[in-house]
Amino acid sequence: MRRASFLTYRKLRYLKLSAALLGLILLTAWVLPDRYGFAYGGTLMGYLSGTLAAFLAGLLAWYGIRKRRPPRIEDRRHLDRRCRVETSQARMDQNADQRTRERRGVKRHLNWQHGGTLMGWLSAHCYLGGVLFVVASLHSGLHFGLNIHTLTYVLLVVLVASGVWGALAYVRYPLLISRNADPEGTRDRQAQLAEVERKLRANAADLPVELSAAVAISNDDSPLVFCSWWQIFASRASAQTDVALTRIQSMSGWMADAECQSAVREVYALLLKKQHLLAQIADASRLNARMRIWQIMHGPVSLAFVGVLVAHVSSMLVFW
Amino acid sequence: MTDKIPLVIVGAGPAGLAAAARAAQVGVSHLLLEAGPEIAHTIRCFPKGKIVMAEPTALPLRSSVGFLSDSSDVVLRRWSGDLAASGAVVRTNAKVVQVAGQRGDFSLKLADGDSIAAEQVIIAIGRQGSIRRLDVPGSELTGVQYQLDDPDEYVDETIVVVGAGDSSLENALALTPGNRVILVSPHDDFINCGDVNLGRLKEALAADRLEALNSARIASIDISPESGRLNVTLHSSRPIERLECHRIIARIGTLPVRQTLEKLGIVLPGMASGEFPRLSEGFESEIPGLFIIGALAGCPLIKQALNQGYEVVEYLRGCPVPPADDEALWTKLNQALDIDSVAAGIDLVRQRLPLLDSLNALQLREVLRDSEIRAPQPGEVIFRRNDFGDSFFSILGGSVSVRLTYPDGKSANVTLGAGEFFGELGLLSGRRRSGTVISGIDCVLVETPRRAMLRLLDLSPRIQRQLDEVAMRRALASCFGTALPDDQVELLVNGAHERSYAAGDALFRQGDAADGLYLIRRGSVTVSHTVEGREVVIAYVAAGNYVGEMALVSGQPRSATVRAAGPTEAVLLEAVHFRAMMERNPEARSDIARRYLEGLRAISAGTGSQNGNLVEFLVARGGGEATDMLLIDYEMCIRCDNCERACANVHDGTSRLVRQAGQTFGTMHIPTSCRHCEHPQCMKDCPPDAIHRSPQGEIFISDSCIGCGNCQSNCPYGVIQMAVPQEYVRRTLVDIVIGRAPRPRVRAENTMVKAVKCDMCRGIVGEAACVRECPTGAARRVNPDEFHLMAGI
Ligand SMILES: Cc1cc2nc3c(=O)[nH]c(=O)nc-3n(C[C@H](O)[C@H](O)[C@H](O)COP(=O)(O)OP(=O)(O)OC[C@H]3O[C@@H](n4cnc5c(N)ncnc54)[C@H](O)[C@@H]3O)c2cc1C
Ligand code: SF4
Ligand code: SF4
Repeated sequence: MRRASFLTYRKLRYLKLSAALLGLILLTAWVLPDRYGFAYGGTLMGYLSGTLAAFLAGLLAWYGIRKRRPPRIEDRRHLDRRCRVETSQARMDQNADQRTRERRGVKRHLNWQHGGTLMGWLSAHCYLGGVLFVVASLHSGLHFGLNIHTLTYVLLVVLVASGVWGALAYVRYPLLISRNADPEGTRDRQAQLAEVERKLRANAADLPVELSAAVAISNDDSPLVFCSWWQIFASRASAQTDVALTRIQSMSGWMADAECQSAVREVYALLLKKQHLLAQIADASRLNARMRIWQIMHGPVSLAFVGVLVAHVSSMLVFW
Repeated sequence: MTDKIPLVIVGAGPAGLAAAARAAQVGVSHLLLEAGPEIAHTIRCFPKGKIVMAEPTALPLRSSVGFLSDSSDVVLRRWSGDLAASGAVVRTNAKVVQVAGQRGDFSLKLADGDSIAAEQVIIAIGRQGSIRRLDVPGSELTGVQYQLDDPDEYVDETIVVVGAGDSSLENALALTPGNRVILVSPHDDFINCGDVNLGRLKEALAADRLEALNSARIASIDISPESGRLNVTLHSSRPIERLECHRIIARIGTLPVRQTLEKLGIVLPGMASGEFPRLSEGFESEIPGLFIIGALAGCPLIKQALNQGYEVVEYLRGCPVPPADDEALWTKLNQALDIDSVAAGIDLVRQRLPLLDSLNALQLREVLRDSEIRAPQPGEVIFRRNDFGDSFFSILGGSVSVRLTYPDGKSANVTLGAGEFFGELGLLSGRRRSGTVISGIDCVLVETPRRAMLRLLDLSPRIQRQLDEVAMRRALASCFGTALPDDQVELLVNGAHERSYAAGDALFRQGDAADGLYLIRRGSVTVSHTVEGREVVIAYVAAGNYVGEMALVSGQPRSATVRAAGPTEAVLLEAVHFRAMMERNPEARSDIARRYLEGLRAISAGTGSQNGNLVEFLVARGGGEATDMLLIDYEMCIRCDNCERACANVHDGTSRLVRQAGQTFGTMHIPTSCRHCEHPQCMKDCPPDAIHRSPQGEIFISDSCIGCGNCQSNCPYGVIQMAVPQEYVRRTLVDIVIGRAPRPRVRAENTMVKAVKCDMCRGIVGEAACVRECPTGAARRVNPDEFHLMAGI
């Protein structure tokens, strides 16, 4: 039973809604006599679409706030104080009772009382974003220049583009990330890596100088120094470990001494393990970064957009 | 040896010191013996800064020493002061090791060799002292310890930690940095510990930070002559092993009450292991002149212990006082019954309720104290079908009407009259109520909470038997629907056997001959089919249903293996009786035929899929006994941790779930969060009885929590945290714009650490916050009946 994702929320409720809205707008544009202008800010249609676009922009921006600020819930601890009494009372209070009865069934319908579900908001955010793009394009009438109005539009385009990327990333990467993660999760890998490094240090101390120097090369690889954004562009995370491995392969002096031979075998195995772990850790943070990188654009640009939008609207009002 | 002392009190905990203070006050010559260097050793060992709570608030205190909720320092100072003021005679550093004799002629031996003669003895040694010790040669050597105060004290040592529970594991893990730690467990797994600890253990094992020896037991300990260290001989599946170590830390639990008493040489023949001693109204045990009070007598709270100390002395000197709860009991009984004294009320209850008439007055009093007496209006709903049941009802007068809905969709009304009871199915199975109960005319009910009822069942096998029989009849009727006439039920009951199973035990295996039909009364089972030598789970069947009908219908050997998903009780109806019933009863037959075909379909659908493993995984992680479990689909989860933040937002700043912890199978993740078990372990040992189940099924902790941490260690899934409630300041618009995280703030007036856990957002309109605030729909709450849906089988 795969449950709906944010895109298919409630059997595509918001896709349908957006399509209907879009249809209505296009219909209005088509029905309205030509002299009101197909679009463009200065015409009646322009004002209509502008108002609608501003409203949509506000709704979309509100998602960002809703997400970071879940609805306030009243203090409920007094409920627990005398729980036995309350239990009996709840039983008698049939109204409340019936509402909470089929917990998951009925309670879902009551979500709207606390501002709906975030999934619903996200679903609406995605599709209405598309509508906004179309409406704003109509509103612009595709007249561009070096002015604040065009800047508003450009920022919107950036927002929509990064949003589309984001929606796709949110659908695609979670599965890839969980495929990459071993059952115990990334934190464990960090611990494993630390352990491998500790053992490497301990073992290398007993080796001949040139060998322990080779092993030491791998010390420069440590995923802890990478910032995860950087991972997207980073070269191989185990670059220095690779060097250390080749360096050891190219030496042969140790073959003669049996004791040394077994020590090298151990160190070599540890280095291989380190290489593997580094690759996995790097993969994990790379995927993670890819899932989130669009946010770098989307968040700040939306702030800028809101600011510019306010300027755009007020300049219209002033020059009117 | 000195003269006989009229009254010796052993143990200066709350119970003992209250007894001594009262004795001093009324001039009974006495001696209070305390093993520790100061009185109230148990309270002294409470975690630093802990507030000692004076629960239950409604119970009046009647002791010669005062007691109000405060920090343990203040409470202790007050006790020392009051005790000295009363003129009580105390001897500290006097550990009693043996008590022998009877009324008028007791002799007590102390650890320092001294002995004391006494006429009467009060035992008030509590339960904290009875830490279970290793019972092997050499266990008295220095270096063998039962407690770990400060793990940082030890470095570069080899330390053997013994035990299979959370405390041993935590100790072992705390010691790993800087020491070589070997964990010795008597079982083949760490069966008694929570998921979180288990996860940490696995991690430590994988990283070689810790060694573990399973199915091993220490046989003896001696001192190695060369190094002077401890030399441990181990018995395990491997040949005898010897280990040298600096120190042994054994965390193997506390002794049951009976063993604690037996260590003092006190043998009470009427007391089974795991029970509390049987006492008279004046706390006198089966040995005349020997009294038992406090935690050992089964009273878990300080205030009760203080009261008992007072009452026992009053009883001893011949002025018995009515118990402190008399007044409360009187109000309770008087409002519903026409009586002139509490005693008369108790008699009346005994007369009217045949189920309880084997109890003595003290026990009955206890049951009534915990129960509520209700006189509902005619037509009032007592509970509804599909409510979760947390209590048991006996009908004291009038009648109720029960509306049952059978699996075939039909329903029927049954009337129950005075002396009968209902609500036992929910009590036994921990599941939802199977019918709706509506009050009749003049109805008076005794509503007994689950915990009191379970204690009663433990105490009286007779009540257990009576209850079981009725429950079985009702279960049969509800499984086979309206179709079954009484005489046939009778026939089936006569050929029924009760069986109980531990998690993982097989009720029957694929290929076995069919021995009968299994009716699951408690717990749940998985049905699995063997494909290429591997068992694949194809179905999950919960209490209240039956399994094993397929082979009975087809006459073939068993077509699947059925295993208990958690502790499970089932009733086996023998094949002959069952077949006879089917022959005579076409309606039941058609119902079973329908089930048979469904079963066939499940087998063919289930064997082809891999998803059975998911069900198995969920069941192994507590899904079998869960009623509601939070799952996160990692195929959708964008790891934003909004669920945690939403939880903290509605729950005093502490998230009740930890998204990253927990286990994953494929893409299904079980975060650390309460499963709302059918038979919650966390409820087991809560002194103020603060953990409850609401009619909607959520397990929650009420405000009366005293922060003792018992529930935290009892929960097998590690989902309870100890936390201070915080004010979760919502982010302002500015915070959001500049990206400042929410800042929880501790309220000045409320700094007490309490147990916190998921309460499924009870009292909040709409879905649970974690689910509601998940942007992608990855978080969801499921109950076990939905597992197979989720797994797609
Ligand atoms: C962590 C924790 C927190 C708790 N918090 C609370 C709370 O906030 N409020 C509350 O009401 N209850 C609380 N409890 C429960 C409370 O501690 C007990 O109910 C209470 O201590 C029981 O009193 P007692 O006198 O029966 O036994 P104890 O208090 O255990 O006293 C027994 C005394 O006997 C002595 N003794 C033992 N063996 C011998 C011997 N052989 N010879 C001589 N002396 C001996 C011991 O040294 C000890 O001083 C808490 C319990 C724990 C573990
Ligand atoms: S807290 Fe209680 S109900 Fe929840 S998982 Fe633990 S034992 Fe079960
Ligand atoms: S809820 Fe837990 S911590 Fe609180 S009193 Fe009960 S067992 Fe102790």
